[in-house]
Amino acid sequence: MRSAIAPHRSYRTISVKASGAFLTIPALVIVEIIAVFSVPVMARAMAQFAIYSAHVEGVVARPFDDRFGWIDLRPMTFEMHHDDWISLLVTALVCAVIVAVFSFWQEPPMPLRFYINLNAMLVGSAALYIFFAGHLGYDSAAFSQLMLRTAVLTWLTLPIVIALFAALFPFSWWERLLFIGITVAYDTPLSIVRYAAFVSILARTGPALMPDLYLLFGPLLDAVPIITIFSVFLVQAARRIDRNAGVWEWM
Amino acid sequence: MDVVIAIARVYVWIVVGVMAIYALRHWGFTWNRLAMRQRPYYQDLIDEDLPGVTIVVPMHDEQTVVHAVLDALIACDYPRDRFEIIPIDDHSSDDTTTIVGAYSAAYPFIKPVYAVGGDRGKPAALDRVLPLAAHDIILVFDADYRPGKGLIRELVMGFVDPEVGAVMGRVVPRNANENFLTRMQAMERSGGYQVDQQARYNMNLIPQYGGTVGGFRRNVAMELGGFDPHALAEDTDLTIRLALAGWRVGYANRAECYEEAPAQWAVRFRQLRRWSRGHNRALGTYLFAMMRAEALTWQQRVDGVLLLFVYLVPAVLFTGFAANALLFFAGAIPVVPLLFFSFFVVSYSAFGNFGPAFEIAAAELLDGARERLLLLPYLFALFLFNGWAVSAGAMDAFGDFLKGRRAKWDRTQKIGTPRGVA
Repeated sequence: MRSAIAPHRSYRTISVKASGAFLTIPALVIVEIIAVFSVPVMARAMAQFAIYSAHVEGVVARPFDDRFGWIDLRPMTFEMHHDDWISLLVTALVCAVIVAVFSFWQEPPMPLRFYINLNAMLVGSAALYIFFAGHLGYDSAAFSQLMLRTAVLTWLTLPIVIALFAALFPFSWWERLLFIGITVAYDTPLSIVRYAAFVSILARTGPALMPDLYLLFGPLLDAVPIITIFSVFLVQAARRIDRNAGVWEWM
Repeated sequence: MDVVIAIARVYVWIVVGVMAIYALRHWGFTWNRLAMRQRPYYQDLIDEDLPGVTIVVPMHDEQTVVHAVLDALIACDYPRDRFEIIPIDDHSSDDTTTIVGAYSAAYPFIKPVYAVGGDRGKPAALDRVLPLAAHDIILVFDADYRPGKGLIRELVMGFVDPEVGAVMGRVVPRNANENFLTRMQAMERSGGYQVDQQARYNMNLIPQYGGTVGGFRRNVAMELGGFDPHALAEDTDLTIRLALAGWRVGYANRAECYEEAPAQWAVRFRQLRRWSRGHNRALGTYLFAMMRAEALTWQQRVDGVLLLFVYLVPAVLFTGFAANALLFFAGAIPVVPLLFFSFFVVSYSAFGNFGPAFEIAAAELLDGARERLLLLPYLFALFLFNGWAVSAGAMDAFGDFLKGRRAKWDRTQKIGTPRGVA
C-alpha cells in the first residue's frame, strides 16, 4: 500500500546506486581511449581548417611545426591588423565610454550590462597595455599555439569532468557513454570553427581583442552547450523515472 | 614583472584550489541527497503535547503583503491557546500600522509591537521582541511569506529534540513563473534547499537557519547575547553562534513556505549585496572561533568554515580572472590551471548562485520539475550578475571593517497582491 502512494517531493529519493555510478568508469575509459587516439587527427583538422580559412579570406598565414606530447599541432603565424598609438587610445577611450554608459544606463537588464562592461574592460585594458608596453605577451604564432594546446587539453580532460557529472544521475550505461562522448564530439567542431573565427577576427581588428576572445569566448563558453546537452539527457532520465512510479522511494 | 607573474600564477592555482574544494563539496552533497539514506525531520512525530510558540513577523512598510501573511497564520491549525503572533511594525510610514492594529483588535492572540524609535531593521526588531515573547519557541516569517496550515506544527516539532537550538523550513518562490529572474531564483532555491540543506542535515553538518520559515529557542538566543541590531545577516550570526555553543539546526524539507522572490534585477542585486555584506561580516567575526570550536566535530568545523567563506568565493573568483587576464597580457598564461579554472568555475559557480548545475539538476529531478531541467543552461546568464552583487557586498563588508562603519538595514522591496485580488 505504501508504495502506491506517491511521496511528497520532500520525501522523494531516487534509486541512484554506487554500482550504477561505477558504470561511468568504463564509459569514461572508452571515450578517453578514443580521444587519445583521435586527438592528433582532430588537432590536425583544426590547424588545417584555420589555414584554409585564412587562405580563403586572404590572410597571409605560415604554419610551423610544434610537437606537444605525442601530437603535431601545426600552429601558424598570421598577419594581424596593426594598431597605431592613436587607434589604441581611441579603442581604450571607446571602451571606457561603453563602461560608463552601461554603468549608468539602467534600462538594459543587469546581466547584459555586466557582460558588455566586462568585455569592454578587457578590450580597453589590452589596448592600454599595448599602448604602454608596445605589444601583448602573445604574438600570432604564440596565440595560435595557445589555442591549439588549449583545445587538445580540453578534449583530453573534458571527459573526466563530464564523467563526474554523469556519475551522480540515474543514467543507463549507454546514456553515460553517449553523454560523455557527445560533449567531446561537439567540442571538436566548436573548437575548430572558433579558432578559424578568432584568426579571421584578429587579422581584421588587431591584438587588442585577443585576451577577450580567449578568456571570455574560449574554454569558459564551452560550458553552455555542455550544460545544454546535460539538461537534455536529464530530461530523458526524468521521463523514465516519471513513467515508473516504483522508482521513487520513501526516505 | 617576473615577480608579479610568479605571484599571479600561484594565485591562479590557489583560486583553482578554492573552486575545486567547493565544487567537490557540492558534488558530495548531491551524491548524499541522491544516493544515501535520508534523515527525516521530526514532523511525523505524533504528539498532542505541543509547546507554546511565538510567531514573529517583522514588517516595514508592508501594506501590500501584511494581510496575506496574517490571514495565513490565523488560518493555521496550531492550537489557538498555544501560540501568539507578534507583528513588529518597524518604523512603517504606510498603512501597515493601521492594518496591524485592526488585526490586533479582532484577534486577541495578535499582539503587535510598534517600533518608532531606535534602530531599524530585522535584527533590531527581533532583539526588541525577545524579552516580550510569551513562549520559549520563536518562529520567524518575513511579511511576504505565506505559511501553509500545518507549517507551524511541522516546524515546532523539531524542538522536541533537546539538542536542537533552531529549525529551518524550505523556501519556495510562489512567483516563479513571473519572469526570467524569478524562474532562475526558483531553481537556485530548489538546489539550495532540496539538496544542499537536506544533505547537510543528513550528514550532521551545519544546515543554515535562514532567518525566515524557521525558528529558535528564545532562551538560547538570549543566552547567546540576542541579536546585533547592526548585523545584516542575523540568520548566519545565529546559526554560527548556535553551532559554536553545541546546538544543532534541524532542517525540515517538508515544511515548505512560499515567498515572493524579487522580480526586478536591481532589487535582487541589492538583496544579494546585503546578504553578502552581512555574511562576510560574520566571516570576520566567527572564523577563528569556528576553526577552534571544541563543541564541533572536525567535519562540522570544516563545513562551518566553508559556509562562512561562501560569500567571499565570487570575489576570489573575479580576482582569479583578473590574474588570468594579467598573465595573458604578459604572455605567460598557463594552460593547465586555466583549464582547471574554467572547469571548476563551470562546476561550481557559473550555473547557479552557490549551487552548481548538478545540484540544481538533482533538486529539480527530485521535485519532479522535468521541464525546468531544460532551463539549466540559462543559469549562465546570471553568473556575472550574482558574482558582481556578492563581490560588491564583500567589498562593503571590507569597507565596514576598515572604517569601523555600521551597516544600515535595506529592506527587500515587495510588490505583493492587493487584498481581494489573490
